[in-house]
Formats: sequence, structure tokens, C-alpha cells
Amino acid sequence: MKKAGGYLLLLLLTVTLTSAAAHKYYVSVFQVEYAPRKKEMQITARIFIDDLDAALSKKYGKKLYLTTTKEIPEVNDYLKKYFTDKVHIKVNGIAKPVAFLDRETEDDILICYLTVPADARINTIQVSNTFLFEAHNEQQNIIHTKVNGVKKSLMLTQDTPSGTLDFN
Amino acid sequence: MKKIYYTLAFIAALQATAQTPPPAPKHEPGHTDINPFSQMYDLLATPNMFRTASGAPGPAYYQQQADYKMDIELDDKNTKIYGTETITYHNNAPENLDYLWVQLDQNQHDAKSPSKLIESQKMDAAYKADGFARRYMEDEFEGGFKLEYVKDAAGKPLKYTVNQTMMRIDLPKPLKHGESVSFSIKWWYNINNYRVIGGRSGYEHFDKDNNNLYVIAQFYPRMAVYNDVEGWQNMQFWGSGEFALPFGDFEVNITVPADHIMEATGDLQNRKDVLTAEQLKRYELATKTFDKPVVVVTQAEAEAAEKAFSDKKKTWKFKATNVRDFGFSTSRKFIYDAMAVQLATKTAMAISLYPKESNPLWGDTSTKVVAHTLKTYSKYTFDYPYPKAISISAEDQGMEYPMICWNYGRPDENGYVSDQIKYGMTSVIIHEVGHTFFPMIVNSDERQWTWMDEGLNTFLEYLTEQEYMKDYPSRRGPAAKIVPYMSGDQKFLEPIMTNSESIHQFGSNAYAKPATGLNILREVIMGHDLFDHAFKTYANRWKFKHPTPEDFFRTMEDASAVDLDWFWRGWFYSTNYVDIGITDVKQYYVTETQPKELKDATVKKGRFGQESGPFVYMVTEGPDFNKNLKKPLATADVKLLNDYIQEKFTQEERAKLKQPKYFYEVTFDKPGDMLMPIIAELTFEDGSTETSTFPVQIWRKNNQTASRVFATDKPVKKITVDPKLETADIDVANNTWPKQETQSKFDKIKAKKK
Repeated sequence: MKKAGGYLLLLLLTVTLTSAAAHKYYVSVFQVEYAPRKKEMQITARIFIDDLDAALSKKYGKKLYLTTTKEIPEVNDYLKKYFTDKVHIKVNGIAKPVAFLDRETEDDILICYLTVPADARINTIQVSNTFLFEAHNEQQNIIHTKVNGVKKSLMLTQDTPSGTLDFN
Repeated sequence: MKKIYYTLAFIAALQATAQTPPPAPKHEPGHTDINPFSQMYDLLATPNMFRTASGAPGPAYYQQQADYKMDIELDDKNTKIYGTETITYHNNAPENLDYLWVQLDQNQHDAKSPSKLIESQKMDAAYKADGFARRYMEDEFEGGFKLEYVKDAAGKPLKYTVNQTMMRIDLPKPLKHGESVSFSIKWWYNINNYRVIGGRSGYEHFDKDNNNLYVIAQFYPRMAVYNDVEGWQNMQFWGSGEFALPFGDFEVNITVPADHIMEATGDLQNRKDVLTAEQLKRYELATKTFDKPVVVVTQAEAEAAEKAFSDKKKTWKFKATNVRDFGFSTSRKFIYDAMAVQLATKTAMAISLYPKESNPLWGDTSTKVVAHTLKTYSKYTFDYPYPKAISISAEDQGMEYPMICWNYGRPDENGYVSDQIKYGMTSVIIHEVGHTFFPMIVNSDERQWTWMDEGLNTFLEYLTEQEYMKDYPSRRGPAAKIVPYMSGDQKFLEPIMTNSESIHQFGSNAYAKPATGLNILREVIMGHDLFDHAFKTYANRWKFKHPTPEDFFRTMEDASAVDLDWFWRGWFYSTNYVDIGITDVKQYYVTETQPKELKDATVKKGRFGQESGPFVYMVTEGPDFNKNLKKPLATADVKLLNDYIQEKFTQEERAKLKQPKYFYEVTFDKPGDMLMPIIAELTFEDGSTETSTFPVQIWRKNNQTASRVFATDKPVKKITVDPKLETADIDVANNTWPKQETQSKFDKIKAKKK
């Protein structure tokens, strides 16, 4: 089964729309890598274009035609807004701004490049990520982090939209 | 006194020793066999008369049969469906059966269904008013089967017990081997609007013209599978693990409003009664048209029908032989097109039904994709044995039944079709039509093992997509695409061999990873010929039967003589990942001057003897390295070698000798535990390349490192492991020598922006 209309989402938390065949699964992957020399965390986000296009078009009340020849010029502004709205990162307990750098398309996936300043030793990273949660109640946002060679991950869902990783 | 003093000191020393016990004698614990190449006796079921060690059905293999006769009526106004069915169940098992289990999958929609109680919930911070009302105030949708009776062949009520999505029928006397029993069930249920309630079937409502488009499946009480592996299926339908069903013959009469157009599993028996004379003629033409679809019910006819809302009824009669299930789709809105497909030994029909909202996309694409899928899958398995394959346009769906499937993808309200929709729709049609092969014919148990049909089907979907169009943007298949999943936190990863309900990342675990694994077997490990033959053998051995994972694993090895136990262990039974790298590259130079550290060098002679010099020595840069040696080998410079060659070979033979000038010893390691062949590409200074593949058995001693020597006639500039990203290596930072400071994407972006 593919997907349910977004408007249903809040109504239907108990209904499992998972599964079936063709599938469509609702997963975004955020790879977060600490680059000490650049004093930043570099985030590579991989998101299904159709889900994102539908969600943005709905949220901002206008068809975006994301990554198509008909794409509207303000897309990057909407993307930046959406990331700011949906992705919140705290490093060592302090909220940090998420900067949207660039994006590119790979088949049906939009790859977005983002950075977060990180000038001190990283003890903890707290990630809250509700990307596309309003579109599909089974949306999963997987956060892979790599800090000084240590890999840790979070799987964020409606049930647990945020988590903290400890690198001490 | 002195003596005493010494004695005391001695005692003190003794005490000191007693306080810090001497290190225990070195004791290295032993271990049992941990070699990843070990045969899988510890994991696979013991072969027996039902299922052989070769992976083929054994001499005692049996399977049950369930035949159905059903009369169905769909009430479009009230979105209800009514049915009476007679099931004739044949017991082919050697043992007696005291009871039968029937599946009531619709009960997952029952307001009291426990499957709604197994999800964790958290309080939401905000609700829309209607959402709040629906969540906390309104009654839930009243779904699930309402059973009116269960009777035996003589019309006497049978005792039955419903346990969630399954019903046990207690037989008055045991059903013996070779016997059959018939019984009837009368039922009805409220059809769910699947876009609101969810579900693999139900109806979609069109507000503009007030019509419904029905996709109806798992709509009747269905026999559960009884077999030599599980006995009766005893796992409920919780939502992810789909269906396991026995084969049988179906006769189904379906009554719907007279202005509906329908398709279903099986051959239509009364086409004359349900189509107009003109439509019949067009259908006849379609059965002889192999190059493009023929429109049988036109858009104009469909648009006229969707306004009419006829009060009359029509009954469509279908017959299907040797199918495991039955599904149908009906609506006033349907346009219908069809074409004939020529397979190697037979023909089949490719058919699509879609509302006007799906055009022109569906008219242009769907049936052609169905035809391409039947041809491609038939090539890799067996000729599609059924008379037809139908693609139904149903928004938000992607679900399969024998001969019929529901597929999403329509133009938006402005008629625009994005690439995502175009390719998404094409892929879903290939995938769902493909499911008629796996699991509708090669009938694996989805309740236990989603991957057995989803993984194999996703693999063939990938091949079919690539043959449909060069560089088709396949979502799953290429090795590199599984890396983000396989490199993830182990806490969210399960082996593929995990029950369908227990998987965190369903799409990656049950679809993408097995499909990618098969692709790696085909491209890297077995090669196309061996793989394709083995895969085809599996499909043919198990078509119209019930295979288990073991039957697949064993057949793939048995038919290819490629031992793959290490692969199944790593890729299917564990969450190990591939990471192979280069740890060291040493360049060697040739000399006949004996270096100090090679003073005692010896060379083996035969099995027991030892040669003494003079030797040709291989030296590498180190403290005592003679810098003059640092040059390519010229045979003339090494007298010992040169003399030998001059003496031993004729001029003609000498001309044929290889002329290696550069010598390298390369050490590989594997930080990842998933084994793979080592694919090493040498790039020479002139830019040319040479690739060597070292079979996976290079790791057979459970060794952490492996090294190889390369003798080349051109200087090597770079060595790359897995240069084409064919092995799902999760970390390519260690794949090259010399170590490259790969410029990150971020550096590139920042450089660009400056």
C-alpha cells in the first residue's frame, strides 16, 4: 500500500497503514557527521521527493513541482523554512541554527546538505526531527551520527520525535 | 641472629608472594567452529521426505486444496458486501484433521480488533477539531465479518470458534487422508473507505461525481494453510505479515449495479451478458492485438455511466483454476483496455481498468507495462500460466492478488505528471503484476517471511525496470543503494530472517536488502548464467507449491554448485555488513645482491628439500634499502635472471615472456564481518586500468587480512577496492591507495558558493 491522504493523519493514529506490496515506505535518512576542522556538523538528508513535494505543497498552499521542470522559483525558501520548522538540534544542550546549503536530486530522492555550528568538544547531540510526520503517521526519520569515529543513531517516529545521543 | 633475620625476611617474602598471587599459567580458552564458511546444519531444518536437501519437493511432499463456490453481492449505495460460499477442502496430508482453520482477515477492521491495541501511543500536542472528535468521541468504523452461519453439506450448523482473524471449525468426524469435506459460510461486512480507514482493499470515493471505485480482496473467509512445516497457520493477521493460502479452483458470481465495469481473478464466463455488442467486438480485437492496447470500454462510455446510477443489477461470472486467492474490482467509472501478450509457449491478456482521472497516463502506460512485466518475468521464471493480468488504478494502493492488482499514480488536478508519479506508477505496476509469480504461484508464506515474495519480487522488478528503459531510476536493486540502511545503528537492524511483524524498517529489510543480495549474487558472486539457471530452477520447482526459505537457499546452491552458506549466513541470517579496505601496499624491487636481512633466505625444493642460493631477491624500502634499486626491473640488470632466461628459452620463446617491471604486495582487511570477493582495480600511470576479482574463499580461514602480489609492466598510480560499488561496502574511505583525502560534498558546495 502506498500512502494515506495527509489530512487523515492526526485522526487515525491507531490505524496501521503499513505494509503491502509495492511499497512505498516512509523513511528519511539524515547523516550527521562532525567535521572538527570546519567546526561544524555536516548533515546530508535523503528524502523521497514525492512525499516532500506533497507535504510542502500542502503546508504552503501552493504546488511546488519540486525538482521538475515546472519547479517554482521559491522552492529553496520553502525548503529552508521547512527544515527550520521541523529539525531542531542542540549541541551540549544548546540550540544551534540549522543552515541549508544546497540540494541535489538522485533518482526519486532529494539530497539536502545542511550544517550546524559546533565549535566545542561534542558531549551530547539532541535531535528533534518531525520531518513529514504530518504527511504519514508511519514516517520514520533515521538519524545517523558520526562524531570522532563513533557512530550512533536515532530512529525518530511519531511516538519518539526526539532523542539525545551521548558521546562521553 | 643473622640467620633468624634471613629467615624472617624469607617468610616476609613468602607472605608478599601470597598476597599478590603469581600470574596464573597462561590458559587460552578453546572455541567451537566459528568459520563463516561452515555449512548451515545449525540453521537449516533437517531435510526429510517432504523437503529434500537439494531444495526440491521430496517424494512425500503434499499440499492441501481448497475449492470455492461463491455468490457475492455488492451494495454500492450502502457500501456493504454480502456473500455465501461453499468451500470444499481436500486433505492430502498423511494425517487426520480434527478441525479446520479459516482466515477472517477483515476482522482486522473490527472495532475491537487487538491489532489496534499493539501500537504504542503518545499524546499529540494539537488536534484539528474533527480529528479530536474522531479520535476521542466518535464510534469507530464497524468493520469485520458478520457471520450469519457456518453449515455442513447437509445444511446442519457446524461448531465454530472465532479467534481474532481466524476461525476454527470443529469437524463432526476427523477428515482422513484423501478425503474432502464441504461446508458453507454466509457473511457480510461494511466496506471500508480505505483512504480514510486504511486497508489493502475497500473503496475510494470520488466527491465530484459521487461514485465509488471498489478494490475488493481478502473479502471472504479463506482457508488457512496446513502443511508439513507449520501444521495449521497459527499466527494472526496483525497488519504486516500478509497472507498464506492453499491453491484451489474458484467459481464466483458477483452481482453489482448494472452500469458497473468489473475485472476479477479468473476467466469471465458471461462476457456477452455484461458488455455491449460493440464492446465485445473490441474485446475480440484486443485478443488478437499484440502491439498496443485496444480500448474496450471507452472514456466516453465510462463518463456516461458514472452519471447514470442504474437501479438494475448484473451478475458477472468468473472461473479460476489453481489460484490461491480471488480479488475483484468494480466501478461505474472504469475505462477498460487490453492487449494480447505473446510468451514463449502461450499467450496471455494484459488488461487495465482506470477512471478518467487517470488518463492520459494510464491509457498510454499501464497495459504496456503489464505486457512487458509478463514477458520479462516469464523469461526469468516460467511462462505466465494464467490467462490474464489486470492492473487497476486505485489511488494510494499497491497490492496484489492472483491475476489482478491495485496500483497508485495519477496525474494531478492540473493534468501534470511528475517523474516521481510516472516512475512510481510504472514501478508499482511491475511490482504488483510481478507478485502473481511470487507469491501467488511460487506460494511462499508471507505471514512468516515477507522477504520470500517481496525480496524475490523486488529483485525481478529491478531487472524488469532496467529492461523497460535504459538507466531506469530503480529505487532498489543496485548495491550502493542499500548502504544507508546497512550502515545504520545495529539497534534498528534485524536479519532478513526475521518474522514480518518484528521488523523496524520494513521496506529496507524485507524488500531492498534481499533484492540487493540477489543482485550481488548475480553480478559479483555467481555470474548471470549460474544465477539465472538456479533462480529459474527454484521458480519451476516450487511453482504452485509452498516453498520455505530453506528450499530457496538449497536450490540456489544445488543448481549452481556454488556453495553459498557463507552468503546466507551473513546476508540473510545476520546484520553483518560489508567493509573491505586496503591497509598496506608495498612496492618491491628485484636484485641479486643479498640484502643483510635475507642472509638466511631459503627456497623450498619439492616437498622436503631446500634450495640454497644464489637467489633473485625481492626488497622493499627500509633502513638498509639501496636507493639505486628503486627503478623498474630490466632483466638485463639482474645477471642471474638474465643468464637463466638466455639459456633456457629460445629467442622466440623469450619474445613471449611477460615483462613485469613493477612489483607490489597489497594487504586487504575487512573491518566488516560480511564476506565478499575482493574486487581490486589497479589504475596505472597512463590512466589505464585492470581489475582482478579474488573469490570470497580468500577469507576461508576466517582470516582478518588477505594479501595479493601484483606484477605489472606499468607503474601503479592507484588501487581501488570495489571501484564500481557492487558489493554494498559501507565505508569507502579505506577503499583506495594511496589514501585519498576525498573532498567532501560540503567542501565542493562551499567552494562553489565562494
